[in-house]
Amino acid sequence: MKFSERLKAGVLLDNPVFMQTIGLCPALATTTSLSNAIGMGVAATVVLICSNVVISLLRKFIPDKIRIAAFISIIATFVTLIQMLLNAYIPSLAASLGLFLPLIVVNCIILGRAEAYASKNGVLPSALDGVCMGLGFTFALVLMGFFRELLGAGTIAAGIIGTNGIRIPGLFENPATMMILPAGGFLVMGFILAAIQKIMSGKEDK
Amino acid sequence: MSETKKNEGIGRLVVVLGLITLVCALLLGVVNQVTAPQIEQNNINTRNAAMAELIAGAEFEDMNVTEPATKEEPTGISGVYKATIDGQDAGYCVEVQPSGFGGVMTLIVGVNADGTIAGAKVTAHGETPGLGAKAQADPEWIKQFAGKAADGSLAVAKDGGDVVAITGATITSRAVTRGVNRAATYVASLG
Repeated sequence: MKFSERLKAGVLLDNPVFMQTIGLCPALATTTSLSNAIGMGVAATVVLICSNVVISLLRKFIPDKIRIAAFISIIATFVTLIQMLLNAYIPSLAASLGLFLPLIVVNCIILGRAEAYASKNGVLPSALDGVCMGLGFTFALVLMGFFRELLGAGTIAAGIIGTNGIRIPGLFENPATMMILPAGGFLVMGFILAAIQKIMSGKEDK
Repeated sequence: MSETKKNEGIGRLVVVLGLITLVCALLLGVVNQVTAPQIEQNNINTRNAAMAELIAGAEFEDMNVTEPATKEEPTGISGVYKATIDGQDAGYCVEVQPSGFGGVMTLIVGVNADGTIAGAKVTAHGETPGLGAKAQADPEWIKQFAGKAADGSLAVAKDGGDVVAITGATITSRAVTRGVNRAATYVASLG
Protein backbone atom coordinates (compact mmCIF):
# COMPACT_ATOMS: atom_id res chain seq x y z
CA MET A 1 0.00 0.00 0.00
CA LYS A 2 1.24 3.45 -0.85
CA PHE A 3 1.90 5.99 1.86
CA SER A 4 -0.93 8.27 0.75
CA GLU A 5 -3.37 5.38 0.92
CA ARG A 6 -2.12 4.34 4.33
CA LEU A 7 -2.45 7.91 5.54
CA LYS A 8 -6.01 8.11 4.24
CA ALA A 9 -6.79 4.82 5.96
CA GLY A 10 -5.24 5.91 9.27
CA VAL A 11 -6.85 9.33 9.37
CA LEU A 12 -10.24 8.68 7.74
CA LEU A 13 -11.39 5.24 6.63
CA ASP A 14 -9.76 3.30 9.45
CA ASN A 15 -9.48 6.09 12.02
CA PRO A 16 -8.67 4.44 15.37
CA VAL A 17 -11.10 6.54 17.41
CA PHE A 18 -13.99 7.18 15.03
CA MET A 19 -13.94 3.98 12.96
CA GLN A 20 -12.35 1.30 15.12
CA THR A 21 -13.65 3.02 18.29
CA ILE A 22 -10.56 2.09 20.28
CA GLY A 23 -8.53 4.38 22.51
CA LEU A 24 -11.71 6.04 23.72
CA CYS A 25 -10.48 6.51 27.28
CA PRO A 26 -7.76 9.07 26.43
CA ALA A 27 -9.95 10.48 23.67
CA LEU A 28 -12.68 11.31 26.18
CA ALA A 29 -10.45 12.26 29.11
CA THR A 30 -7.92 14.55 27.50
CA THR A 31 -9.88 16.45 24.87
CA THR A 32 -10.98 19.31 27.11
CA SER A 33 -9.09 21.78 24.95
CA LEU A 34 -7.27 21.94 21.66
CA SER A 35 -3.85 22.26 23.28
CA ASN A 36 -4.48 19.21 25.49
CA ALA A 37 -5.63 17.23 22.47
CA ILE A 38 -2.49 18.07 20.52
CA GLY A 39 -0.28 17.23 23.52
CA MET A 40 -1.84 13.83 24.00
CA GLY A 41 -1.92 13.10 20.27
CA VAL A 42 1.74 13.89 19.71
CA ALA A 43 2.91 12.01 22.82
CA ALA A 44 0.91 8.92 21.86
CA THR A 45 2.16 9.07 18.26
CA VAL A 46 5.81 9.10 19.36
CA VAL A 47 5.31 6.09 21.62
CA LEU A 48 3.28 4.31 18.93
CA ILE A 49 6.06 4.69 16.35
CA CYS A 50 8.76 3.53 18.80
CA SER A 51 6.81 0.53 20.04
CA ASN A 52 5.76 -0.48 16.52
CA VAL A 53 9.39 -0.49 15.38
CA VAL A 54 10.70 -2.50 18.34
CA ILE A 55 7.85 -5.01 18.27
CA SER A 56 8.29 -5.47 14.54
CA LEU A 57 12.00 -6.13 15.09
CA LEU A 58 11.24 -8.73 17.74
CA ARG A 59 8.23 -10.29 16.01
CA LYS A 60 9.99 -13.56 15.12
CA PHE A 61 11.58 -13.84 18.56
CA ILE A 62 8.43 -13.45 20.66
CA PRO A 63 6.36 -16.66 20.93
CA ASP A 64 2.66 -16.26 20.23
CA LYS A 65 1.51 -17.36 23.67
CA ILE A 66 3.25 -14.59 25.58
CA ARG A 67 3.01 -11.84 22.99
CA ILE A 68 0.58 -9.65 24.95
CA ALA A 69 2.77 -9.72 28.06
CA ALA A 70 5.84 -8.97 25.96
CA PHE A 71 4.11 -6.10 24.10
CA ILE A 72 2.88 -4.50 27.29
CA SER A 73 6.34 -4.74 28.87
CA ILE A 74 7.90 -3.05 25.86
CA ILE A 75 5.26 -0.31 25.67
CA ALA A 76 5.40 0.39 29.40
CA THR A 77 9.20 0.55 29.26
CA PHE A 78 9.08 3.06 26.41
CA VAL A 79 6.60 5.28 28.18
CA THR A 80 8.59 5.22 31.41
CA LEU A 81 11.86 5.91 29.60
CA ILE A 82 10.37 8.86 27.73
CA GLN A 83 8.84 10.17 30.94
CA MET A 84 12.15 10.01 32.83
CA LEU A 85 14.09 11.62 29.97
CA LEU A 86 11.55 14.43 29.57
CA ASN A 87 11.47 15.07 33.30
CA ALA A 88 15.24 15.31 33.38
CA TYR A 89 16.03 17.26 30.24
CA ILE A 90 12.85 19.02 29.05
CA PRO A 91 10.99 19.63 32.33
CA SER A 92 8.77 22.34 30.79
CA LEU A 93 7.37 19.90 28.23
CA ALA A 94 7.02 17.19 30.89
CA ALA A 95 5.07 19.62 33.06
CA SER A 96 2.70 20.59 30.27
CA LEU A 97 2.09 16.98 29.29
CA GLY A 98 1.61 16.05 32.93
CA LEU A 99 -0.55 12.99 33.34
CA PHE A 100 -0.79 12.36 29.59
CA LEU A 101 2.50 10.52 29.50
CA PRO A 102 1.76 7.72 31.99
CA LEU A 103 -1.75 7.49 30.51
CA ILE A 104 -0.27 6.34 27.21
CA VAL A 105 0.48 2.90 28.68
CA VAL A 106 -3.22 2.17 28.88
CA ASN A 107 -3.91 3.53 25.40
CA CYS A 108 -5.17 0.44 23.64
CA ILE A 109 -4.41 1.85 20.19
CA ILE A 110 -0.74 1.18 20.86
CA LEU A 111 -1.31 -2.41 21.96
CA GLY A 112 -3.87 -2.75 19.17
CA ARG A 113 -1.43 -1.75 16.45
CA ALA A 114 1.29 -3.95 17.96
CA GLU A 115 -1.08 -6.89 17.85
CA ALA A 116 -2.78 -6.22 14.52
CA TYR A 117 0.10 -4.84 12.48
CA ALA A 118 3.62 -4.57 13.88
CA SER A 119 3.77 -8.21 14.97
CA LYS A 120 3.03 -9.33 11.41
CA ASN A 121 4.91 -6.81 9.27
CA GLY A 122 8.41 -5.49 8.61
CA VAL A 123 10.06 -2.59 10.38
CA LEU A 124 9.52 0.13 7.79
CA PRO A 125 5.83 -0.58 7.14
CA SER A 126 5.31 -0.80 10.92
CA ALA A 127 6.92 2.58 11.46
CA LEU A 128 4.72 4.04 8.71
CA ASP A 129 1.70 2.42 10.30
CA GLY A 130 2.65 4.12 13.57
CA VAL A 131 2.86 7.50 11.84
CA CYS A 132 -0.49 7.10 10.06
CA MET A 133 -2.44 5.70 13.01
CA GLY A 134 -0.85 8.28 15.30
CA LEU A 135 -1.94 11.06 12.98
CA GLY A 136 -5.41 9.57 12.83
CA PHE A 137 -5.60 9.49 16.61
CA THR A 138 -4.31 13.06 16.85
CA PHE A 139 -6.82 14.19 14.23
CA ALA A 140 -9.71 12.66 16.17
CA LEU A 141 -8.51 14.26 19.41
CA VAL A 142 -8.06 17.65 17.78
CA LEU A 143 -11.58 17.54 16.34
CA MET A 144 -13.07 16.70 19.74
CA GLY A 145 -10.83 19.10 21.63
CA PHE A 146 -11.77 21.95 19.30
CA PHE A 147 -15.52 21.54 19.76
CA ARG A 148 -15.35 20.86 23.50
CA GLU A 149 -13.19 23.90 24.14
CA LEU A 150 -15.36 26.07 21.89
CA LEU A 151 -18.63 25.08 23.57
CA GLY A 152 -17.37 24.41 27.09
CA ALA A 153 -15.00 27.32 27.60
CA GLY A 154 -15.91 29.68 24.75
CA THR A 155 -12.35 29.90 23.47
CA ILE A 156 -10.40 28.65 20.48
CA ALA A 157 -6.86 27.34 20.92
CA ALA A 158 -6.27 28.71 24.44
CA GLY A 159 -2.66 28.04 25.35
CA ILE A 160 -1.64 27.92 21.70
CA ILE A 161 -2.56 31.42 20.48
CA GLY A 162 -1.51 33.32 23.61
CA THR A 163 -2.60 32.01 27.01
CA ASN A 164 -6.26 32.89 26.49
CA GLY A 165 -6.68 31.97 22.83
CA ILE A 166 -9.46 33.54 20.80
CA ARG A 167 -12.42 34.36 23.00
CA ILE A 168 -15.81 33.98 21.34
CA PRO A 169 -18.04 36.88 22.45
CA GLY A 170 -21.25 35.66 24.07
CA LEU A 171 -19.99 32.12 24.45
CA PHE A 172 -17.00 33.03 26.62
CA GLU A 173 -19.15 34.77 29.23
CA ASN A 174 -21.69 31.92 29.41
CA PRO A 175 -19.97 28.72 28.33
CA ALA A 176 -21.68 25.33 28.48
CA THR A 177 -19.28 24.09 31.13
CA MET A 178 -20.69 20.58 30.88
CA MET A 179 -18.91 20.16 27.56
CA ILE A 180 -15.47 20.14 29.16
CA LEU A 181 -16.67 17.76 31.87
CA PRO A 182 -16.71 14.00 31.20
CA ALA A 183 -20.36 14.04 30.10
CA GLY A 184 -19.49 16.54 27.37
CA GLY A 185 -16.85 14.18 26.07
CA PHE A 186 -19.44 11.49 25.50
CA LEU A 187 -21.84 13.98 23.90
CA VAL A 188 -19.29 15.36 21.44
CA MET A 189 -18.08 11.86 20.64
CA GLY A 190 -21.66 10.75 19.99
CA PHE A 191 -22.44 13.64 17.68
CA ILE A 192 -19.22 13.21 15.72
CA LEU A 193 -19.79 9.46 15.34
CA ALA A 194 -23.37 10.11 14.22
CA ALA A 195 -22.24 12.68 11.67
CA ILE A 196 -19.63 10.29 10.29
CA GLN A 197 -22.16 7.46 10.06
CA LYS A 198 -24.52 9.76 8.18
CA ILE A 199 -21.83 10.75 5.69
CA MET A 200 -20.66 7.17 5.23
CA SER A 201 -24.16 5.77 4.72
CA GLY A 202 -24.87 8.48 2.18
CA LYS A 203 -21.82 7.35 0.24
CA GLU A 204 -22.89 3.71 0.32
CA ASP A 205 -26.32 4.50 -1.12
CA LYS A 206 -24.90 6.02 -4.28
CA MET B 1 7.35 -37.18 22.61
CA SER B 2 4.68 -34.54 22.63
CA GLU B 3 5.28 -34.15 26.38
CA THR B 4 8.90 -33.05 25.85
CA LYS B 5 7.88 -30.69 23.07
CA LYS B 6 5.34 -29.05 25.36
CA ASN B 7 7.92 -28.67 28.11
CA GLU B 8 10.38 -27.18 25.67
CA GLY B 9 7.69 -24.76 24.65
CA ILE B 10 7.11 -23.60 28.19
CA GLY B 11 10.85 -23.35 28.82
CA ARG B 12 11.20 -21.12 25.78
CA LEU B 13 8.30 -18.94 26.86
CA VAL B 14 9.86 -18.44 30.27
CA VAL B 15 13.27 -17.66 28.79
CA VAL B 16 11.97 -15.22 26.17
CA LEU B 17 9.68 -13.32 28.50
CA GLY B 18 12.41 -13.36 31.14
CA LEU B 19 14.88 -11.92 28.64
CA ILE B 20 12.50 -9.19 27.48
CA THR B 21 11.66 -8.08 30.99
CA LEU B 22 15.33 -8.29 31.98
CA VAL B 23 16.34 -5.98 29.14
CA CYS B 24 13.47 -3.63 29.99
CA ALA B 25 14.41 -3.57 33.66
CA LEU B 26 18.08 -2.99 32.87
CA LEU B 27 17.25 -0.13 30.51
CA LEU B 28 14.95 1.47 33.06
CA GLY B 29 17.54 1.06 35.80
CA VAL B 30 20.31 2.65 33.76
CA VAL B 31 18.19 5.55 32.55
CA ASN B 32 16.83 6.11 36.05
CA GLN B 33 20.37 6.20 37.41
CA VAL B 34 21.32 8.80 34.83
CA THR B 35 18.21 10.98 35.08
CA ALA B 36 17.47 10.82 38.82
CA PRO B 37 20.02 13.45 39.92
CA GLN B 38 18.93 15.75 37.10
CA ILE B 39 15.26 15.35 38.01
CA GLU B 40 16.10 16.04 41.66
CA GLN B 41 17.96 19.18 40.61
CA ASN B 42 15.01 20.26 38.44
CA ASN B 43 12.67 19.82 41.42
CA ILE B 44 14.93 21.97 43.59
CA ASN B 45 15.04 24.62 40.85
CA THR B 46 11.25 24.57 40.55
CA ARG B 47 10.90 24.96 44.31
CA ASN B 48 13.40 27.81 44.48
CA ALA B 49 11.72 29.58 41.57
CA ALA B 50 8.31 29.16 43.22
CA MET B 51 9.57 30.49 46.55
CA ALA B 52 11.29 33.46 44.92
CA GLU B 53 7.99 34.32 43.25
CA LEU B 54 5.93 33.99 46.44
CA ILE B 55 8.13 36.10 48.71
CA ALA B 56 10.06 38.32 46.33
CA GLY B 57 13.62 39.31 47.15
CA ALA B 58 13.93 37.03 50.16
CA GLU B 59 16.66 34.61 51.10
CA PHE B 60 15.55 31.18 52.22
CA GLU B 61 16.96 29.03 54.94
CA ASP B 62 16.04 25.36 55.01
CA MET B 63 14.69 24.54 58.48
CA ASN B 64 15.05 20.80 57.80
CA VAL B 65 11.51 20.09 58.91
CA THR B 66 9.45 17.24 57.54
CA GLU B 67 6.20 15.95 58.97
CA PRO B 68 5.01 12.88 57.09
CA ALA B 69 1.28 12.45 56.58
CA THR B 70 -0.45 10.56 59.39
CA LYS B 71 -3.95 9.18 59.82
CA GLU B 72 -5.00 12.19 61.90
CA GLU B 73 -3.26 14.73 59.66
CA PRO B 74 -3.34 13.44 56.08
CA THR B 75 -1.55 16.49 54.69
CA GLY B 76 2.19 16.05 55.12
CA ILE B 77 4.85 18.74 55.22
CA SER B 78 7.93 18.03 53.15
CA GLY B 79 9.92 21.18 53.80
CA VAL B 80 9.88 24.48 55.68
CA TYR B 81 11.94 27.46 54.57
CA LYS B 82 12.39 30.60 56.64
CA ALA B 83 12.42 33.75 54.53
CA THR B 84 14.50 36.80 55.42
CA ILE B 85 14.86 40.09 53.55
CA ASP B 86 18.01 41.99 54.57
CA GLY B 87 18.10 40.08 57.87
CA GLN B 88 14.43 40.90 58.64
CA ASP B 89 11.89 38.11 59.09
CA ALA B 90 9.75 37.89 55.98
CA GLY B 91 7.68 34.83 56.82
CA TYR B 92 7.94 31.23 55.70
CA CYS B 93 7.53 29.06 52.67
CA VAL B 94 6.10 25.65 53.46
CA GLU B 95 6.04 22.72 51.06
CA VAL B 96 2.89 20.70 51.74
CA GLN B 97 1.54 17.53 50.18
CA PRO B 98 -2.25 17.28 50.30
CA SER B 99 -4.07 14.45 48.55
CA GLY B 100 -5.83 15.62 45.42
CA PHE B 101 -8.04 13.79 42.97
CA GLY B 102 -5.16 12.00 41.28
CA GLY B 103 -2.82 11.29 44.18
CA VAL B 104 -0.55 13.49 46.24
CA MET B 105 -0.02 17.07 45.08
CA THR B 106 2.98 19.19 46.03
CA LEU B 107 2.34 22.82 46.88
CA ILE B 108 4.58 25.63 48.02
CA VAL B 109 2.70 28.01 50.29
CA GLY B 110 4.14 31.38 51.25
CA VAL B 111 3.07 32.87 54.58
CA ASN B 112 3.94 36.50 55.27
CA ALA B 113 5.33 37.64 58.61
CA ASP B 114 2.12 39.65 59.15
CA GLY B 115 -0.05 36.52 59.16
CA THR B 116 -1.45 36.64 55.65
CA ILE B 117 -0.96 34.19 52.83
CA ALA B 118 1.66 35.45 50.38
CA GLY B 119 0.47 33.00 47.78
CA ALA B 120 0.66 29.38 46.76
CA LYS B 121 2.03 27.43 43.84
CA VAL B 122 1.47 23.86 42.71
CA THR B 123 4.81 22.31 41.78
CA ALA B 124 3.77 18.70 41.16
CA HIS B 125 0.41 16.98 40.76
CA GLY B 126 -1.45 14.17 39.06
CA GLU B 127 -4.76 15.97 38.52
CA THR B 128 -7.01 15.56 35.48
CA PRO B 129 -5.74 17.58 32.51
CA GLY B 130 -8.08 20.44 31.69
CA LEU B 131 -9.90 20.26 35.04
CA GLY B 132 -7.92 19.79 38.25
CA ALA B 133 -4.66 20.48 36.44
CA LYS B 134 -5.80 24.11 36.22
CA ALA B 135 -4.62 24.49 39.80
CA GLN B 136 -1.18 24.61 38.23
CA ALA B 137 -1.88 25.50 34.60
CA ASP B 138 -4.14 28.50 35.26
CA PRO B 139 -2.03 31.06 37.12
CA GLU B 140 -5.08 33.25 37.80
CA TRP B 141 -6.94 30.71 39.91
CA ILE B 142 -4.38 30.19 42.64
CA LYS B 143 -3.83 33.94 43.01
CA GLN B 144 -7.02 34.20 45.06
CA PHE B 145 -5.19 32.76 48.07
CA ALA B 146 -2.81 35.71 48.24
CA GLY B 147 -3.74 38.15 51.00
CA LYS B 148 -6.16 35.82 52.77
CA ALA B 149 -5.78 35.29 56.51
CA ALA B 150 -3.29 32.57 57.39
CA ASP B 151 -5.28 31.09 60.28
CA GLY B 152 -6.20 27.75 58.74
CA SER B 153 -9.88 28.65 58.28
CA LEU B 154 -10.07 28.75 54.49
CA ALA B 155 -12.69 26.66 52.72
CA VAL B 156 -14.12 26.44 49.22
CA ALA B 157 -17.46 28.10 48.56
CA LYS B 158 -19.30 24.76 48.55
CA ASP B 159 -18.12 24.17 52.14
CA GLY B 160 -19.13 27.64 53.26
CA GLY B 161 -15.86 29.43 52.64
CA ASP B 162 -14.91 32.05 50.10
CA VAL B 163 -12.42 30.13 47.96
CA VAL B 164 -13.81 29.88 44.42
CA ALA B 165 -13.39 26.27 43.30
CA ILE B 166 -12.15 25.28 39.84
CA THR B 167 -15.13 24.30 37.69
CA GLY B 168 -15.44 20.52 37.69
CA ALA B 169 -12.59 20.05 40.13
CA THR B 170 -13.93 20.61 43.62
CA ILE B 171 -11.76 17.84 45.06
CA THR B 172 -8.62 19.45 43.68
CA SER B 173 -9.71 22.86 44.94
CA ARG B 174 -10.35 21.40 48.39
CA ALA B 175 -6.93 19.74 48.37
CA VAL B 176 -5.17 23.01 47.56
CA THR B 177 -7.19 24.81 50.24
CA ARG B 178 -6.31 22.08 52.74
CA GLY B 179 -2.64 22.44 51.83
CA VAL B 180 -2.74 26.21 52.32
CA ASN B 181 -4.49 25.76 55.69
CA ARG B 182 -1.97 23.17 56.79
CA ALA B 183 0.93 25.50 55.96
CA ALA B 184 -0.80 28.39 57.73
CA THR B 185 -1.45 26.43 60.93
CA TYR B 186 2.09 25.12 60.94
CA VAL B 187 3.57 28.59 60.62
CA ALA B 188 1.16 29.86 63.31
CA SER B 189 2.40 27.12 65.63
CA LEU B 190 5.95 28.42 65.20
CA GLY B 191 4.77 31.67 66.78
